[in-house]
Amino acid sequence: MDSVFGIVGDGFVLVAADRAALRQPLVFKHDEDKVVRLDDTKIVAAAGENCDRVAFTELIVRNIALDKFRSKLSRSCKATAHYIRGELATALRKAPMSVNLLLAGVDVPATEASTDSKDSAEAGKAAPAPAGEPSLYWIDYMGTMAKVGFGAHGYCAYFTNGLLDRYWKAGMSEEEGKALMGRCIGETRARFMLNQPNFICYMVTAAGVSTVDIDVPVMPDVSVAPAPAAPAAAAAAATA
Amino acid sequence: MLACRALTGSGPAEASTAGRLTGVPTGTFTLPSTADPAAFASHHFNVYTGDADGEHRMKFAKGTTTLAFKFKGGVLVAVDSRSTQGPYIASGSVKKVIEINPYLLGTMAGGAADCAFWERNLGVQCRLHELRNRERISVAAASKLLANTLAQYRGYGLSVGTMITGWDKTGPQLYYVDNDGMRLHAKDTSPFFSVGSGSTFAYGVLDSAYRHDMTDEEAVALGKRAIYHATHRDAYSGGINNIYLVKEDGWVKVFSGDVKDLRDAFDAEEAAAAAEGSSSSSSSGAAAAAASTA
Repeated sequence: MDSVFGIVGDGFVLVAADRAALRQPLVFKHDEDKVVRLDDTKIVAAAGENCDRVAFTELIVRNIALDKFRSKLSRSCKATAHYIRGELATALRKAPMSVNLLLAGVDVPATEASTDSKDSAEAGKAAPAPAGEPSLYWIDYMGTMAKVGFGAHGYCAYFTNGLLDRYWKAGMSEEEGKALMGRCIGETRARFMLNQPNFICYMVTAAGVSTVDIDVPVMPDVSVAPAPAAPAAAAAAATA
Repeated sequence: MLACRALTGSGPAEASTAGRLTGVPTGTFTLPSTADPAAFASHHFNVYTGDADGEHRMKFAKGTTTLAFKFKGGVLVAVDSRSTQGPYIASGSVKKVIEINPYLLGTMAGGAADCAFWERNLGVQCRLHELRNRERISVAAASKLLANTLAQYRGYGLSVGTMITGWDKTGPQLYYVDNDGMRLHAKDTSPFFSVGSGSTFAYGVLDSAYRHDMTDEEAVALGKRAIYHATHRDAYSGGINNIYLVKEDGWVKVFSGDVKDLRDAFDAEEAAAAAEGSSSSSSSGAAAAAASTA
């Protein structure tokens, strides 16, 4: 029932996740965070049963931290995505599990400034931060993986994929990206049966991970029946 | 499940790394001695989840009302005491607040045996943590131990819906843990949980009357109110209302009383307020103001 979706833009990735924690008819919380941080420029948004979701995301977060500690290297988004897919496929064959994932990250190219430790601070100040290559990987609970420009999981995919097909284009600016995310959240709020009023939205750039505020447009209120035709006109038509 | 034997087969417990002393299985499960233990369990027992209509011999519903909330003064825990076996009230005096140790409380909803057994087991694990690490376990860690145990036994028919609460280095803390392995933390933006068949009624009262800056007395009054209204509407809740307060130096039991007496007290309160209102309307404005602030 969880809703997560994301888009790739020019030098950034945006990912949004709903904040509800449900159990049968009851909403326990509206402040759950279903996004975990893998490293400085990679996050994973996960949808699925609380138990599986928490267990699996904790597993990959710790193992990626361990790998970084051992190798002193940060893996690329592609390598990380394949690692996660592999772990998921392995776990799936031990016990039933349903976790759908979106990996959002930006590969920051190693600059000369970062390798030259002597005057790295000065070089870092002078040179503008490298743009980096943003990427979004869509991984479902069966271990299917695809590198995508936009992606969504759960019921929210039914509501947002049409919008994203229509309005997403490669190389969108941050403003365009935020507007599109707002459209998707608004559509999910307006048309989805479940009560998921709150979304948390993360932006990943070469500079790091941050939460962003999204302006959600007011959608037509589907809970209100459409107004009947103007009575005066109807009466006039009847008498004529 | 009288005839049980240990199976050294496959299963989620195989991955367990917990010590034998803790009571958490290390590589083996004790399972019914049938060809397909999972099918046996799902045929005979059912936790009210997806298929409540299945033909099961025994059904475990979380026929209870338990609630807990964080507020200025710590954590307040309020529960009823009714135990039901289908339509039959098996007991009206169950202790649904489980005193894990002087700093940790757990609540009981679902199978009484499952809650009592696994929270007792949690108490053992918490004591071992103290002995090994020379400091008390955090509420976060304690609730995670229970959630891990329940996650291992997921799908085996346990019925547990519990709130683990206590006061640690980080202050008062509250977690919800259940047999699906779900574990939720009560944050400032979601300061309470309620569990059981009467929880929806209790949520109504809590959602409308909860404030963070309540005094201890106001918190206890809110706990009584919420439990009373839940026992009034929910046939599977009733009996005695027990209330505990979690403070920095451990928990204290602050109230224990029949919900029937609560009803009488609330009725008397409302009658008095109504009488006050009608009498003061004819008297001076000052008296009316005094009555409305009371």
